[in-house]
Amino acid sequence: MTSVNKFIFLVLEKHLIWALLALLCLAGLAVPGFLSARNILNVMWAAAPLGCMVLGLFFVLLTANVDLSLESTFALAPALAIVLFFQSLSLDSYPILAVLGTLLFGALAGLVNGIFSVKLRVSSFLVSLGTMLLMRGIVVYLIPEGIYYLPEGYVYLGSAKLFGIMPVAVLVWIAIFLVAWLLIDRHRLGKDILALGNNEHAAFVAGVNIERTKIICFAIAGFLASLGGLLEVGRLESVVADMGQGDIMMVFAGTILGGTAMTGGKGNVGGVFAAVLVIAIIENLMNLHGVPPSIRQVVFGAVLLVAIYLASLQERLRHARLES
Amino acid sequence: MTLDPSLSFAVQGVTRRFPGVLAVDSVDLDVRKGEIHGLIGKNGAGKSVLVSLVAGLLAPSQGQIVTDRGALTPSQSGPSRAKKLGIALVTQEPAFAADLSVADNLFMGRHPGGRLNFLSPGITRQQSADVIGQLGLRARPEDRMGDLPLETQQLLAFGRAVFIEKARTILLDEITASLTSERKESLLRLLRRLINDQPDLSFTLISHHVSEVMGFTDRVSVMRDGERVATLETAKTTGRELADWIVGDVARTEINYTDQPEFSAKPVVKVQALKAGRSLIHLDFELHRGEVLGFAGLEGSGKDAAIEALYGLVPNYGGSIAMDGADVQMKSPKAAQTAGVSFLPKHREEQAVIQNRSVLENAIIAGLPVLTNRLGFVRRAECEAVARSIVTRLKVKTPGLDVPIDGLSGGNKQKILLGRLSLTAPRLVLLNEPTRGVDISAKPDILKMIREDLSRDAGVIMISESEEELAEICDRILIFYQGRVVRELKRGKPGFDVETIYKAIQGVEVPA
Repeated sequence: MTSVNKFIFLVLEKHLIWALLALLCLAGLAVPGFLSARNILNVMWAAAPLGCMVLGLFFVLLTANVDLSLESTFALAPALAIVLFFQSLSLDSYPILAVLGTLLFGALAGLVNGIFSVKLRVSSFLVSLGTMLLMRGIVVYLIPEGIYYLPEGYVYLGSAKLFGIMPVAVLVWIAIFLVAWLLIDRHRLGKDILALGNNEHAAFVAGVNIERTKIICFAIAGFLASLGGLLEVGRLESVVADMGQGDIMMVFAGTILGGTAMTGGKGNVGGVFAAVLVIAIIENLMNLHGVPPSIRQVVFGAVLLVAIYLASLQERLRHARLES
Repeated sequence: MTLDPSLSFAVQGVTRRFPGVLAVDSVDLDVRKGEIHGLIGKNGAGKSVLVSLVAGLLAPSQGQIVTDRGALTPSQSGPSRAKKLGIALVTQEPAFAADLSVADNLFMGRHPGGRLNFLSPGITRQQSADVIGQLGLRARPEDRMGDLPLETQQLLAFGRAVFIEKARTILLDEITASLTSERKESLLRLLRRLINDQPDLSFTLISHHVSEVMGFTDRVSVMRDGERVATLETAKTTGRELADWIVGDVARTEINYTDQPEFSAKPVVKVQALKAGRSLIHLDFELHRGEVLGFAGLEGSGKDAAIEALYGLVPNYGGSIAMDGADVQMKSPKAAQTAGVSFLPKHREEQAVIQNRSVLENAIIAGLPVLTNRLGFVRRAECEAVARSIVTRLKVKTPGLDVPIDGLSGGNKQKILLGRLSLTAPRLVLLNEPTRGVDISAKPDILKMIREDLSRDAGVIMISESEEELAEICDRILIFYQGRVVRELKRGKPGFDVETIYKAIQGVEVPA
């Protein structure tokens, strides 16, 4: 094999999603208005809430579980915090409490999912299907008409821009990915998660606390979903009852596109980050191109199908390389 | 509870019962510090259960296992307690996470945590590299475990036990089985060197290969029928003597052998110079209608590869396979079926039983081509008749035809599977361990069915790990050793007995 071939193989095998991202950016060069700092930052701003949920699902998928209810936590955690802290307790002057409350509710929702599916040994798909419907129902009950006026402090993370250009939400998003990378790559927790996702029996024999580790992952996922909800509420400066409804499919698409295996134990934080960008850029390019909304979803589905197929080639490429 | 300080561990009066089976029967066993101790016995002799007891994977029903750090008792057992006592078990198929790196696997569950449990990858890398170096392996700490050859993985599991868990009592369960002879030598040298450096180590080597135990160990204990029947100084014994201890006084089984195969007719299968996979080097044989031919050999001796090639599972085999005089290309299972071959896989639950479906469906699935009408609709009444005949003929114990097959015992499931083999009127029937996981009461029925039903219009090839079974129902037995047939035993001729089969399988020289 020549060194050029080797390089191409390496890119396709390990960094396919980055290659895809680069390709999209190249395609973007031809589109006027794409490659401006403002547009790029806006793309990332809009992608940050999805990015948080994708990262949450990433943790759960690594343990070979799923959490469909993330899209409901996304809406419920902020809605509950707003209703409780601003409407019931009238603590409008302490928005930080509502922010912390949001994140706490998210983590609790994840914890409940985790305890149900791990301790009671019920399939996490079914548990989270139930909690998804339940929590959406609570949101609709709490805020049937939505809430449109929120204290400035509460929407700060989602809406503020530093120096008039840099959205704080993008910084938050990047920060949590860095923390996630540290956890997965440099922390004992990450090693335990990967080990149990890969071979639960081996991890058990080696002394990993299987149940606790899984539940922690669910709690992290709930926390990240509520953080995503917080950013989304801030960006829109309002919260509505159907916020995030149906988004879980896109969350799955992003996580899997980023190279995470549904069977557990396989995936990397960088890939997931890039995958969220890929999704956001596809959407943005369609906007700029003026693709009519009626056909947008068709294009999107087709692009995702191809991208996921390409991602699935990675495993085969690895085998091809090993045999050569 | 006191332990002689020269001993690494002592098994004291240990018994383990399973429902209906006494797997280990009041065994006493002493393994000394600084010793390589062999534990040998046939399949089912109880050595694996004994090892699981020592490693804490099973709790003893009675008795205890004592080390100088404490004991495993019926009430206090478990893998983590065994680890605390310095006991480590290295199994044939190491429990590793295939997608993780070598370093992550070596330190699984015991990553040295720094501040807030964040890791220092440098340290684990360095220590992993040390382990790899000690073992003389070709691997890097960052390599993906699943990409390494199985034998490297085994040695790494060994390295994890010795260097990272720092166990004192190390049980090696069949890990030498798949090693090349060169590797075996270097592993042996490593064991000796480790003992030299750390005289309180002990290694217990579980094997059913006489030659390995002879070459590797200081002393050897023999298990038979759940009991320890002997402990011998390896230097003062011979392979013959050891094999005698292992086999014991075999009660000759009753042979219900009536039909004579059509040896004079043309063979139904003729195989020439068959070569398949890595394990089968060369195979010639003929098989006649009505004949039951046994394939016997150790794991990796080529017997499995041979049977798989005959069923089209090894598409790029070498040599020729002819059926009723016509050459057949066994490119796929479909091609094999078309040629009139049917096959019973070794792993019943994963490869043959359709879980959650009814007894009826499981019984007729292979016969569907002949049980459907032209539009592909199933002729329900006929299916029922076929399934019912299998159930009554083979005395399958089932509450009905429509119950899920999962509720049936292993033996009854196997009867259904064997019954369906004959639906397609095969000319060649391949059976890979037909009595595996079958309760003792169902075995005679199954053997009788193979002998009397399956071989009526076909030739049967059967693999079994039980020499008794082979001697009971086969007309001929081919002994595989290192990829070739080293002996052929015929019924009625001298040497057609359990003892000879066992010794020939082991490669122990026996006068013909």
